[in-house]
Amino acid sequence: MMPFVPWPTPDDTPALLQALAAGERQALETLYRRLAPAVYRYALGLSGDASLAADATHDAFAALAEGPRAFDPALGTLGGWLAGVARHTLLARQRRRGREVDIDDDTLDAMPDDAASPERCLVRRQDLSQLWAALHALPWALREAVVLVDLQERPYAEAARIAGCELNTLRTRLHRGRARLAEHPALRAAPDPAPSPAASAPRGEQA
Amino acid sequence: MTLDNRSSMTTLASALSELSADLERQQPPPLPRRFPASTGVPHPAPRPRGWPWFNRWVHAGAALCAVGLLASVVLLVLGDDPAGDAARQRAALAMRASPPLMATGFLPVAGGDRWRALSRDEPTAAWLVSTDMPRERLAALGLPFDPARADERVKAELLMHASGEVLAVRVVQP
Repeated sequence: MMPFVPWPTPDDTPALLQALAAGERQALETLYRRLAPAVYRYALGLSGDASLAADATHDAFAALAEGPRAFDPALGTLGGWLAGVARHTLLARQRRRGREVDIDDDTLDAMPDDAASPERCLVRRQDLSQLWAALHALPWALREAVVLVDLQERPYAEAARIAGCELNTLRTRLHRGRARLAEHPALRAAPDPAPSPAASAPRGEQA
Repeated sequence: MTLDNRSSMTTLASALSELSADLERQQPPPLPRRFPASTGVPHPAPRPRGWPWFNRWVHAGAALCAVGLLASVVLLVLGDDPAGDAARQRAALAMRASPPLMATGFLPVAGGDRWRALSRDEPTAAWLVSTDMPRERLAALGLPFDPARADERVKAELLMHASGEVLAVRVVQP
């Protein structure tokens, strides 16, 4: 019996980039709809600041709109390239502020919650707040590795390209980030939940 | 793996799963209506590859050569006029008045036996002493001598042995 092989999805990114270079807004909208969520989540996970993440995403797509030919497909995916541009914005803002970008309460409050009861909603919000605080207590490089690989489940190679480091460096950062996250009081004090199949091990182990 | 480690791993995986799910719910703001569009604007031509300084100066070098060639032609044309001859005569007179610094080689004053003895002896110090002497002494050294300038003095350097003996002499400004 022949194994089921799904039809390969044709990669229309080059055609969209060509259309974008020709000035078609529809191409930009399509690319934004497809790629902006991942870029935004990467920026949000890294900075913890919704407005900063929106700015970084905007800058990345502005760079794409102004110079679609700046993206070189030989050097990675378009999503990775956009995340790299957003990263530059985040780093530039961070250097301007002269300190780490901290997650603020507004962002945490803006995060939707699917809990049923108000009491559970409060508990979950507090838990999430502590988890985000634990993540943002990590140094930038370690946090970035955790966000890219564990939270966004990007392949190691793409994550290393975005972070601008070698593959082994990314692995080291990820290992150290996980270890420091596990030592955070928010996780050590947390009750051990029943292991679920989806949460049995840290994710992103694909190379 | 100990029980504590397993528990820690489970807690970490659970936390990461929570964070990932929370992050997955976040949505970017919609694309602004007035977005900076490129869009259609041709990209600037790539800068020429290679050595920028070479590209910058290659034309300057050619211009400099052209200016030099033009100056040579002008000098050749002006070289035939009487004013040019007068200038050359003035330059020759000035050179005679203060001839350029030049020197002869050292001329031995001590005899051959003395030099052989010196070469056998232990090395000793010698000095180079600047002095001047009557121009008529040039003839004694076998150098060309102008009797009309016999009363002038010429600069010379003497190579003197530690004992005070003059071994050789050279004329600095004959």
